[in-house]
Amino acid sequence: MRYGALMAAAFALGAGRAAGQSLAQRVSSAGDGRVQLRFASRAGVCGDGRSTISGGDHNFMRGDWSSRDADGEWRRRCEPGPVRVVLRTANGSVERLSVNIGGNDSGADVHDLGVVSARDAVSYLLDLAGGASHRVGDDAVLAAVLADSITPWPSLITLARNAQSRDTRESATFWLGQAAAARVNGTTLFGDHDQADESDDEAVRGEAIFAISQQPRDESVPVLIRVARTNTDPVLRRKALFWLGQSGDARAIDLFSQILSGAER
Amino acid sequence: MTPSDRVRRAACAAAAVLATLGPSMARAQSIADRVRGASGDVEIRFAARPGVCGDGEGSVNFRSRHDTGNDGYWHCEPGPVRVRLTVHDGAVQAIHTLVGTRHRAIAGLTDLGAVGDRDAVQYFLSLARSADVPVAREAVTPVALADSMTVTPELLTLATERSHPIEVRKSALFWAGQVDESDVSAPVQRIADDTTEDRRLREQAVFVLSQLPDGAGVPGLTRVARSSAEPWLAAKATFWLGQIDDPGASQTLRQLVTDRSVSDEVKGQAVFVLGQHDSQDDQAFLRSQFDALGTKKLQDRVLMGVAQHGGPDAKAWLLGIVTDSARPVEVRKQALFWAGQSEALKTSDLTALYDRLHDDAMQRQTIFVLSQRDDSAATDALMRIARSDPEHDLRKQAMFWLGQKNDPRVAKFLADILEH
Repeated sequence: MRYGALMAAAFALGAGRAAGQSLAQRVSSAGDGRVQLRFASRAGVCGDGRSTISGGDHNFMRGDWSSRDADGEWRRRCEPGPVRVVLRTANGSVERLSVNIGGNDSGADVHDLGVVSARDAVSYLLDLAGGASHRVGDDAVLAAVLADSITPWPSLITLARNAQSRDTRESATFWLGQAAAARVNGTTLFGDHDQADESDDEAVRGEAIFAISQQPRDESVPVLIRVARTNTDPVLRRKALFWLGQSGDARAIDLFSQILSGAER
Repeated sequence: MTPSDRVRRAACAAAAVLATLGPSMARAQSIADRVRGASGDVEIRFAARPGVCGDGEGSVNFRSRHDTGNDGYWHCEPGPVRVRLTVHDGAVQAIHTLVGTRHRAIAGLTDLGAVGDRDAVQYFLSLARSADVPVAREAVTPVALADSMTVTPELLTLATERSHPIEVRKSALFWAGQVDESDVSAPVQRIADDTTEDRRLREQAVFVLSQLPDGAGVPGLTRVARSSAEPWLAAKATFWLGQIDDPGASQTLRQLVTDRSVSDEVKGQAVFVLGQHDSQDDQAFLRSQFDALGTKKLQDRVLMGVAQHGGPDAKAWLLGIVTDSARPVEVRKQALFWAGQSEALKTSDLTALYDRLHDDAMQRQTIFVLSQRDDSAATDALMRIARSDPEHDLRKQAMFWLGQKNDPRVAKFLADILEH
């Protein structure tokens, strides 16, 4: 974590002022408007501070995306952290949440909480996601997943099962699937994976995994679970976990829970 | 006298008797006064013109005076016309016109009794000219159905008066063509030709020409289709020509296809309507013109028409195009697509074709066409390709489309592929 020491120092300097207050209380105390906070990001993640977040197999294009960005310019200015979250609050509740890596919103109306601990941030964000609308919940889950040195999976499993918004439940399930795939492949969520050339046979079987994922859940989920658990090809297991993550099915969440708790590898 | 005529006469007589027996006070009042003084749903009735009949519940049939055959509407009563008006604060809010005596009782309906045909026509014409849409538009129908009145001149006048809403004008023009009192082809053609007129009315005029009895509108439609400087109008006329069962109309359509000076819009419409014809001659004509048609779009319409018509000739011709490697692959793919969408090729034909075709693009198209079929043989064919085709990309494509199938065998097949 390149920013680890800097973040730790910053947190130590800022923590005294906020001691005794939870992050939720600090956000609430800021009143209506925009509230910015930062926390350390997971290894392998970077962003351009405004519209792009990248990490491993994942690329997110958010907000205003220009043709200049499309030229790959953003890659040259992809900062490895920190996660920067801007909350828009009204009448005491969070109505919008934007997630960036790096950058700064220095607008006059921004109440900057500075650097907060990743643990506090994840706790706050996942708590927020549980009862939030889909727009807030989806981004809150992403921000939590991007946080460094935190294992959000137990809380994400709860969210995947119980979040108020279906989109938030689906988002949580998606990330659980990604995390489970990383676990069974012995990689990290946002690490660079060795993308060995797919054999023709793997490509056909990979298409079969997609095809089965399009079948009714009662037909597809048991097959995908069997492939994820027992197939000897890690590429196929990863694909099966990916499509299980898209299914939102309770049996898939149970499997992710078992894999991420170490009960199943 | 047919049974239908006897029923109609009886209904007319009944209406006349009812009119005679109506309250004397009511006789002294105009229909407008009586309606204005009412509230809620009211009904008036009057005799229907010959050729009009209905089931009493909303279906109305209008048969030409020249049509003497049994139209099969044995339950179709020849009258009276019953018009239900919904009145609030003295103003008509809605009009519903029925023909016949059979109907369900409506609670609260005030029966204003029978009225004279002439009075009814004058009242509803006045309403058509003065009320707002939709009442004004609906007021035109009872004008056209009333007996003993020549209404064509009034309807044509209403159609050409530009101060009225277009819906009212279109309705008046429609009924002017339907009432069959005289040959209206000339005034209707004038409306179609009038470039200053509302386009919607001109479209309606072209339609009305196609509906005139005894093909009276065919010359006008032909002239518009061949020589109108406005392709959109010519295309409309071409479409409606194609709906007329008339050898002259078919001849005109073929000339439009072969005439190099005709726009592609009109030519495309002619190809389309000929393709919908059941005539073997029209189908053979389209096939013969395929290569001479300059654009892919026109050729596509021929392929569609021939495929939809089906039959041995269509099948042989389509297979010839699909397998002709000298032709552009896009044309061959389109031929296969349309053949697959219709019954021109059976699924067994498609599977045999897949084995005969050796170029990737055509095999991919065959897989796609198979995927669009609902029969289990198509699923069998896709599973065979997915399991054993030597080309991995074709196997993948078959696999993809199998995933979209709603067939319980598919999940088992895919599980077997993955787990063995």
